[in-house]
Amino acid sequence: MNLDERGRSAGHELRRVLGGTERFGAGVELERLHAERARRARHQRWRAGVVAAAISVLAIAVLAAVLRDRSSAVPTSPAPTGTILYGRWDPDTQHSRWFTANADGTDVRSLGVTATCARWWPDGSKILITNDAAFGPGHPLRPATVRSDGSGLQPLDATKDPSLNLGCGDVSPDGRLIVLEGFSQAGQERNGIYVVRASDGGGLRRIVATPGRSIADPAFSPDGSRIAFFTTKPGVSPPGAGALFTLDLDGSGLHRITPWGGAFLDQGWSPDGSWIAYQRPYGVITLVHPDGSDRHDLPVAFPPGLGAANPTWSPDGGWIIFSLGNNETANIYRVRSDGTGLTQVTSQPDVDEQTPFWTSEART
Amino acid sequence: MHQPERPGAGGPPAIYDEFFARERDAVLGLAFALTGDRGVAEDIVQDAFLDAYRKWDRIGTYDQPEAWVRRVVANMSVSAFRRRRGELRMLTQLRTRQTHVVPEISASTLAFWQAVRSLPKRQAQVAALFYLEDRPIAEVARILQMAEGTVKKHLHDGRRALAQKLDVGEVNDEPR
Repeated sequence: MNLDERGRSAGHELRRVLGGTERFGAGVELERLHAERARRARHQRWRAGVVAAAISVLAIAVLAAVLRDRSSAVPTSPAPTGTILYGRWDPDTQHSRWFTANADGTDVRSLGVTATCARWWPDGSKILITNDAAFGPGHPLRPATVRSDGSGLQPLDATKDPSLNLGCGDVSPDGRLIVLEGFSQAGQERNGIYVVRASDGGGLRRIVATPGRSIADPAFSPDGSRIAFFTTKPGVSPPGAGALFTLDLDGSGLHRITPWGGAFLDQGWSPDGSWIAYQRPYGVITLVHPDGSDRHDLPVAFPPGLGAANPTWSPDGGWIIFSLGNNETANIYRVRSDGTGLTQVTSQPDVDEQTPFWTSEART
Repeated sequence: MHQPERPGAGGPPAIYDEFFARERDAVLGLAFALTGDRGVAEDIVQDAFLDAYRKWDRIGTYDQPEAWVRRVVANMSVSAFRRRRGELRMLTQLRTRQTHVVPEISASTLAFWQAVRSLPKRQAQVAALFYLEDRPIAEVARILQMAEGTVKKHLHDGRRALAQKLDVGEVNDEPR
């Protein structure tokens, strides 16, 4: 049997086996069930939407009145300066392309970089990315850096362990360490939070093991002493939701700061380290102290049908920047940390812009 | 895996249901060929069809929506570190789900697709579409949005590598 005969035989067998299983036969009935459920749900959703809107308006008004007196509220900020880094999701390729813009959304520049994650180096001199371009068979995922204009890719791949992937992460405030989510495609036992040298990606050290659990987006506190991260576990509802934790850099002091199911991916420390902003399902920006206390939703009303995600802070702490949209398209917005001053930053239509990060540095 | 639940009122017309029913098994085969994991393949296929459902007003007008869903699945399948902000569900399942064994598939077939998966990303995509659905070069090019010459190059290189990996000798015949 030559190659083509073997290949076509393998294709035929795969189609036969996968196409003839009971699960797929049952799917036909599920389709009818979903269609019927959808017809009924249309009427229920319309009524529920009206009630929810009324309750939301009332709740926001009450919350705004309460929070007006908060002693810990951050004072309002002057006009924003610096540079914003953000991703634009391409659903066809399932990757994000990265851009920078002035803090007011002007002068958008493509970096020519495709990466799952990207964030500013603490001094704004370069950008930490996941080196997706080098990822493939025999080449585990590793971090890399690029200059602020997207040029000068520098792989940080001194860790040679081929079975361990090192994904999204953050640079310590002194620029010496990178904290990363680690996982193996061969199994879950190596999942955890890892630290490597920022200079070359070597010196691998696992600071906490989380076998069987996904870890995402570890981020240093502004003083570098603690790490906040997202994780989830089987059975958490709604799908995709999990909880935020904090722990010390030496792996001690693990502390859950949100309820299970109370947070989605992405969180941001305020520059003074007193607050962490995150998305509460669905689309609600919520603030919490790093010890889990004083958790409350940001008192801001978004246009109907839109929700917020990926909140992070401006360098001066006066603003929270985030993506706002529906499940298909989104742009970058900012709002003052007291909930006032909602402002659209980017305005490209029909794109899905996500995960903004703000540096005080201006581009050249 | 089942059809994505309808998100709300005024959803796509019944033609989506026909599209889903017609294409799902072949698309699942493509995802399985490129991932080697039944559970991961099902997740990918469901996510791709859910994406098609949400955008059916646009995708339903395409001449070949089936090419669109294959391209999405092919791209998702070769990127094990698929990550979408706000949709950790996909990643969570990729990292926590146990590998699914499909005992009905022969060792020879599993070995063939394992060899395909070991190819560079583009070669693997081209080989999967070529062998799984017996698609001619022009259709593979349309699905992956590549020039036909590029597809031929990837297929030539991929077939040569597969012949070596599977020890079936040199490949001499030219594909269509």
